[in-house]
Formats: sequence, C-alpha cells, structure tokens
Amino acid sequence: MIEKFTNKLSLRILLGLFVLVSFALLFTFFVLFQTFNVYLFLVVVLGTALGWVFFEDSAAKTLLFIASTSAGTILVLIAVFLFLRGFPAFQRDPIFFLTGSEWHVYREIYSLGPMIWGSIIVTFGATIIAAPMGVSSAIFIAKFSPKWLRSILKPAIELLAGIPSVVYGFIGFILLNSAIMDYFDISNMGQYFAPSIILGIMALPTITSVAEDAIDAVPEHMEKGALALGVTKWQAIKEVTLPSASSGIMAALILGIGRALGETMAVTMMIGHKTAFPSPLFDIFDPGETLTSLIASQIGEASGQAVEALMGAGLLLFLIVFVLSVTSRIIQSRLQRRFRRG
Amino acid sequence: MVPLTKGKTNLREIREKEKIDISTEAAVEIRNLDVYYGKERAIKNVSLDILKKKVTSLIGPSGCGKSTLLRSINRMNDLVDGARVEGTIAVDDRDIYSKDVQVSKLRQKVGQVFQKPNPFPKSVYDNIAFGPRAYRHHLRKEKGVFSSFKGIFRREERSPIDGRPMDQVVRDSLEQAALLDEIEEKLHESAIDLSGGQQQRLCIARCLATKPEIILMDEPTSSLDPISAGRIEDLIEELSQEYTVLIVTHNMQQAARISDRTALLWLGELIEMGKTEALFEKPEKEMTEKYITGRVG
Amino acid sequence: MSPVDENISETSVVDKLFVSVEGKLMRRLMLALWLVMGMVFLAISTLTAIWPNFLSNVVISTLGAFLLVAVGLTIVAFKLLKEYQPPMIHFLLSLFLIAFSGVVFLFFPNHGLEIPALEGDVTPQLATISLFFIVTFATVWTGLLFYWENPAHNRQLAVQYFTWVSVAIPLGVLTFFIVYTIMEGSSVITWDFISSASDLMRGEIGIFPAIMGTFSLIIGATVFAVPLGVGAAIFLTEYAKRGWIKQAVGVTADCLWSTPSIVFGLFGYVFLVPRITGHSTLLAGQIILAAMLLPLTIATSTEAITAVPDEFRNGSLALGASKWWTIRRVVLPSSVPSIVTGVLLGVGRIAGETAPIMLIAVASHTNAPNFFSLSPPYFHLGPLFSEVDALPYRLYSIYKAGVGGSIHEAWGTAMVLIALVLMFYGLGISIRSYYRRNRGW
Repeated sequence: MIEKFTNKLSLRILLGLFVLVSFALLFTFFVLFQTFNVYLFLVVVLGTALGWVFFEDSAAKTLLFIASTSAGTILVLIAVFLFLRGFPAFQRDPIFFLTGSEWHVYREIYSLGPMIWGSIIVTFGATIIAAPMGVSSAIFIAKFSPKWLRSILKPAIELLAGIPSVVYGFIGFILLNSAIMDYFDISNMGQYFAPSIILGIMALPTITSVAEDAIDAVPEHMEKGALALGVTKWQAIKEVTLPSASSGIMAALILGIGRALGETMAVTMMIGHKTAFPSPLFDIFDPGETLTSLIASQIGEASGQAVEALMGAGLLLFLIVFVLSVTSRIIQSRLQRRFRRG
Repeated sequence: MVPLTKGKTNLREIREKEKIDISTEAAVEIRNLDVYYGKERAIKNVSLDILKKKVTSLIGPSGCGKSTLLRSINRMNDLVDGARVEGTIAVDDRDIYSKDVQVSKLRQKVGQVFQKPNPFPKSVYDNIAFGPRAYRHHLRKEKGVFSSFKGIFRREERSPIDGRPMDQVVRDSLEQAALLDEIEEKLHESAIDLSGGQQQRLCIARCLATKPEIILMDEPTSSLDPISAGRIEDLIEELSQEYTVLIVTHNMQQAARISDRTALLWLGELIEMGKTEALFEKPEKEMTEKYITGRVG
Repeated sequence: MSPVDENISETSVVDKLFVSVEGKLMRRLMLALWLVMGMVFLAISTLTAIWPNFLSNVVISTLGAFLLVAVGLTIVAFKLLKEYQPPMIHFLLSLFLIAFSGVVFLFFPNHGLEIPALEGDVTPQLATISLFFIVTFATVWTGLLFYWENPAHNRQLAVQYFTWVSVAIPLGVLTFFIVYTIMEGSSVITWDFISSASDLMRGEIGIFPAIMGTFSLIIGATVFAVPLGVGAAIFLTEYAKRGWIKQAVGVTADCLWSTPSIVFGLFGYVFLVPRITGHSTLLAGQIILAAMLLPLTIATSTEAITAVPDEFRNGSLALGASKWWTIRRVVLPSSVPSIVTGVLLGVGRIAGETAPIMLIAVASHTNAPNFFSLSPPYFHLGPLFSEVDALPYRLYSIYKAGVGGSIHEAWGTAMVLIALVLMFYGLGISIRSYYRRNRGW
C-alpha cells in the first residue's frame, strides 16, 4: 500500500489533481465571488513549477489541454454573462422588445425594432457590394492571377481587413458622408447608405479569403479533366470548380454577413443615430441606428433599465452571429468531408 | 547500460517452455506476428529471427508488409492510426509490446534510417547531438530530477548516454558514417543544404550517435543516385561489424550484395528466410524462385 | 454515315445557327441602345446649352461622363478587341481609370475636374464618386458586351476582366485611403507630436500617451494570448486523438473570432471591470484584446504546426526522443516563423480595435503608462490598474468632440495608427515570405 503511494505515478497524479483543484477553486472564486485569491494563485504557480521540474511530459500535456479549453471557456463566459445581464430586458415584454418602434431613454421605453431594421438594411447594402466583388476577386486570385501577382494580392487583401475600423469610420465620415450629402442634395449628415458602402469594403476581405480557400480546395484534377475536353478555362471554372466550391462560397458569404452585422465603430461614426424606423421603410437616405452603433453610442451614459436593454441588444447580436458562424462551419466541414471521400 | 525494460515477460522462458529451437545469437525474435491496419491484416503470422551483427535484408514486392514489419520492431507503428499488433517481438529477450516498456528507450536502442533523408532544419552538429541530448530526459526519469541538471555548468557539453564530450560523439559518429572528411568545415551550417547522399549518411550518423544496437533501414538508397547509393552500401557493410542491421529493399541485387541473410515476404506472409547465397542460388520454395527470376511481382 | 453521326452533326449545325443568331441579335440591340443613348445625351446637352437650368449640373455631368466612357469603350471594344487581344488591355484600361480618379482627387483638390462642355464645378468628392461608378458601370458594360459576343474565349476575357476589376477596386480604395491619410496627416506629424503629450494650456498637441497606451495594450494581449493559443494548437495537432475535440475547439475559435467587437466590450464591462478595481483599467483591456487575439492565434498556429512534415516528428521519435521533447525541439522551432507571422497579423488587427476597450480600459488625455523608474523598485505594476489612452480611442474621441477644430490632430492620429498597422503587417508578411523561400522542406 505504502509502496503504491510512493510510486512516482501516484505522486504525479496526486500533484496534478492538487494543482487542478486549486486552479478550479481559483477560477470559481474569481467568477462567482469576484475575488482573486492570491494564496491559491501561488499554490497553482508553485505546483505547476514543481510538476514541470519533476514530470515535464505530463505537466506539459496537462497545461496544453487547459490551454485548449481557453477559447471555449471565454465563449461560455461571454454567453452566460450577457444572458444574465440582458435576459431581464427580454423577459419584461419580449415581443415589444424585439418589434416595437420606440427607444426613448427619458421615457424609459426600450424596444429594438428600429435598430434591428437598421442592422438589416445596412448589412444588406454591404452584402450587395461585398458579395459579388468578394467572390469574383476570389476567383481572380485563385484562378486567373499569375503566381507573382497572387503573392502580392493576398497580403494586400489581408491588409484591407487590417485597417482599423475607426479609421474607416473617420475617412468615411469626412469624405463619404459629406460627398453623399452634396451629391444627392440631402440635408442630414448620416444615413444608412454611406455606412453600407464602407461596410461592404470592410466585409470584402473576409469573403474573398474564405471563398479563395474554398476554390483552392477543389482538387485541380477535376478542372484539368474538364479542360482536357476542350472547354475554355472559364467554362471549366463555371461548370466544375464553382459548383464544387459552392458550399464554401456560401460559408464565405455567411461569414461576411456576420462581419458586416457585427462591425461597430465605422457604423457608429457614420450613421445618424436616430432611434426610429425610417419613413418610408426603405428610405436608405434617412438617418438611423443599428444594434452595434446603439450599444457603442449609448452604453457610456446608460443606467438602470437602459443597460439591461443594451445588454439584451448585445445578447441578440451575439446569438445571431453565433448561429451564422456555426452554420458556416457546418457547411465548410461538409465540403471538406466531400473532398476527402471523393 | 540501463536495462531496456523492467518487464517480466521473458521470452527465453516461454521458448524453453514451448520447446522452440532457436539460435541464441538472435538480436530480434519475432513470433507469430500479426499487424492490422483497421480491419486489414498487413502481416500474417510471421516468425523470424534477426541475428546479431549481421545484415539481414527483407525483400518482396511493394505493399507486401516489409516496411510494416520493420516499423513494428521499434514500435513506430504505434504512430499510425488504427495500427494493432498481435504476437511477440523480443529485443534482448524482452517483449517490446509488454506494458512497461519505455518506447523512447526502445527507439534509442533500435535506431531507424528512413527512406527519404530527413535531417532536421538545424546545423549538422545539432542534428547529431539531438539523440544524446534527448536522452538526458530519460536520466531524469531513472536517476532522479537532479541528475538531469548535473553538469549544466560544465563548459564542455557531454553526451548523457556514455559521458563522452559531445564534440567527440559528433566527430566519431560522422567518421563512422564516412562523412567527416566531406563536411568537417560545415559542422555548424544547416543540414538542409547538404546533398541527398550526404543527408542520408548524416541520418545514419545521427542514428549512430545514440549508441543503438540494432539499425533498421527502410529502403535507405531508393531516393539517391547510384553513386551515393553505392557509398551507403559500403557503409552498411562496415556497420555490420558492430551493429545488427535490418534493411528493407526492393532491389534484389542490393540484397544479394550486402546482406548475410535474406527474408522474402509475400502479401504479408514470410515465404522463405535463409542465408543470402542459399536463398538466391537454390531457393527451397517455388514462389521464391519465381520471384527471384522475375516471373512474379 | 451512321445514324449517330448524323444526329451529332445536325445538332451542331443547329447549335451554330442559334449561336450566331443570338450573337447578331445582341450586337444589333446593343448598337441600337448606344445610338439612342447618344441621341439623348446630345439632346440633353443642347437643351442645357440653351436653357442652363434644364437639369441640375450634377445629373448632367454624371450622365455625360457615363456616356463618354461607354461610347469610348464600345469603340475600343469593336475596333480593337474584336479579334483576339491579350486581356492585358482590359487590365490596363481599368487600372488607368482607377488611377485617373485618384489623380483627379489628389491633385485637383480645389478646382475639381473641369470638363469644358459641362458647366458648373465638379467637387473632388463628386469626381471620385462618379468615377467610381463609371468604373463599375464600364466594367459591367464591357463585361456584358464580351459575354454576349459569342466565342467562348471572349466570355473568358469578360470574366477575367470583371474579376480583375473587382480585385482592383478594393485595392484602389485601400491605396487611396492610405495615400490620402498620409497626405492629410503628414503635415501634422512632427517629432513633438509623436514624442510628447498634449498640453491644453499651451495649445500643443501630442499623442505620445496614446502610442504608449496602444503598445502596452497589445503587448499585454500578446503575452496573455500567445501561450494559450499556441498551447491549444499544440494540443489539438499533437495530442488530441479524437476528431470531436478538434471540431469543438475549431467551432469555438470560429465563434469567438466572429463575435462582434462591441460584444467583447460589453462582456468586459460586466465581467472584468467589477472584478478588477471596478473602473476602467489597462489590465482589463489587455485581457479582452487577448480574448480577441486568441482565436486568430489558435487558427494560425494550428496551420503552422500541421505544416511541419511528419518526417521530422518520426525522425526525432525514432532517435528515442520523447513526445514533448520532439514538440519542443523539432516541431515548435520549425513552425515558429509561421506562428510569429500569424501573431503579428493578429496584433495588427487588434491594435486598431476601439469598441472593446472603449468601455473598459481607456480615457482620453491620461498620462502614458510608466512601468519603469530609475529608483527602486524600478518596476511598477501600478499602471496595469489605471486607465490609459489609445490611438484608436483618441481618434474616436476627437470625432465625438466634433472634428472642426482638431481635424489635423485627427488625421495625424489616423496616420500614426495606419503606420503602426502597416508596420505589423509588413513585418509579418516579410517574415512569412522570407521563410517560405528559405525553409528546407
């Protein structure tokens, strides 16, 4: 019995369990009771160090496993805390909250209808711009461009995604907003139209890079087989490559829509911040508000029920984007499975 | 040297119990070996012995399980998804598939040279010192934590395997692999820049630096030009004075030139095994004769 | 001749007839359309010459420009490109148009584009926007033209042209944004602007605290995110045997990546702020930015580690190295360049994030975080628990306060921010291309 416990294997497991339990306690205290227990933290650090010195392999494996759960942990924490703070807003009157037409901070009337509608309009506009351009530029990069050009274009598209959204918003605000005001002879500064254009450009790199991966993943021999039958390259692409990559392109579009929907700063800086439905409903030159810009512009000064309502808006956004990205993931993995089989 | 396993399975006892006659000089004893990949049976009931300090070659058509057999001797098959081994393989009379075997220790003792030269993207020196440095790790397990820190303040690095200076180990290994003269100037340059033949000899030197007893070679010359291949063959003949060499090849001339004993595998089964001259000149089985004369395969 | 052959030849003849009829028809339709449009244009311009207020100048100038380009392209298309021509001409054409719009915008900022036939001043913004539309319009126009001009290789050309333009437009916009920001911002950028704080009393502006704040935010985020992300990637590629673990982590990383930045901000606001001092802190900002950087790090590191050939792993394991030793000494060193590239690109992306830190980490016109001092204890953790300024937030707060007075400061800040992002991207991409060229496998 004693021998068994002094065995190195048992020592290793005991130490591991001890450190894991202390870590779990530390984490639980932090999340539930808002305290950061320094002693537990020291125990964890010391235990990890000991484990590393004595049982490097197992310690490494355990640490790596914990690291691999980090993304999931953060996601769960986001979901839980947004739910806790945002659900009361839904609970009071879910139908009014989602479809009502008023948001008055002073009168304490909160409904997200106009903002949801605004998000839909802006995202739709952005998709109209980004989808055809994104997909066709993906086709160009994957199929038509020579190799040297490709090695320039791909990082350039990446860079397009890297320009900060606040810079897009600023340039859009200075140039596009006033230009559209002059051009269409409108008296108000922000509308749905201008942010749609900028969002289209911002969502484009996402679509391009994912769609390009999808097109690239189609085995080349499929297209070569078509070419060998004497069709032109475009015919081969149209008849063979694009249908095979269609689900990947679909996933790219969904991701692009998610990007446009969740984009905050550019919209906040360019939109008119009027929390009401446009009239008529499809007037894209009316000032308006989207879910993201509502949160960004009002959370700083909000209190009480307004915070709950804004958290509700955040929860709604999170859920929509979550569903979108899971959908695109499912589509993508189905695509991969098909090529692995074929 | 530290014993390979602390295991209890002693093949010699089993052998005595089952009254199997076997030469005592075997370095590797394979008994009733079956290897499965998923449901496919790649090796079917193979039993053979690999003699100490001899070159044994495995021949047979491609896909007949030569490489699988080779890989199961140093348990590299463990890395293949869905691979499963039944039967026993004994190295130094210990069953290497028993639970308490330290696989990495086994692999240090049974070195492998791959079909495609695979030097690490490091300098020549670091490539050769890699195996001994990795061994420091075992010391920690066997002799306690502090043994692995022993000598870290010594200016000169020493090999944990036999305590010789690392420079010495590197030079000796390179010399044994007949490579020292060619690349003495380039010891600290990247191994990737060497030619294919030099890379393969570097891989052999790398393997020798860990002080193996058995060296497994999986078609070591098939990706090389004839001149480099010839040098590797010469090298193998020299190595056989000190090491047990098992070589997989599909080149029958090569098997005839360099090996003392030859085994023919066919669709996962052992057809015939014997002295190379005997096997090539008057084979016992009809199948062997057909294969050697090129009428099948 | 066998019946089968007859059948084939028959259909092919019909096919040919149909095709040529369609082609002729389309060509005639197009010609008619152009003729009508040209007449309308003529009529409108005559009417305007007689009666200046006939239509607003804006409409005329746009229409006119559209028509000019359309007619020009038509002529070019019919005369030059009817026979096979290399697609380069199309590319050059669209490049020229884009460059032209840029040049007009940049070099005629006050006068705009003056087309003698069209009265009224065309503002630079207007010129750019109309040229943007012209390029799109011309693209569709020539695209359709070539698509209907029947031979298959023309369709190919049309598609090539169209796809090329749809790459060129966003890149043109990108170039334009960068160049325009540099032109507006470079007049503000001085050494004092970068290296000192604003002094409101003396009316001096400087963004040094914002630069330092941004750097401490991203350094902290990298320190938190990289070990977790790389560790997760190692576990997924080297240890996780079952597919569902990989799938699960992949899905969560995807979701985390596409979660809107403002949602991260809200999360930090309800989760981190109450747990760290109760007000905005640098540490909270670092943690939230790390959460945003994490999925990118996981994705790029997984890709980098998967790209390390199995021969290296096998070679190391066959020498008797343990698994962890193999990972640490062979797998990680071989994949470090790609991981670094991925992290740099990710850092370039989070450096400009405003929404998440807006609520939890920043305040304008604070001092630069100062971790070091010349007297003991030399190193302080204090700044971690206080607010900082950050470049993107500085830009946003200028916007919020009204751009009027401090437009130059805003452009200068935007330029420094873009330069920072460009620096990270440039560094990342050059490391990647260098190692792609020089790695040994």
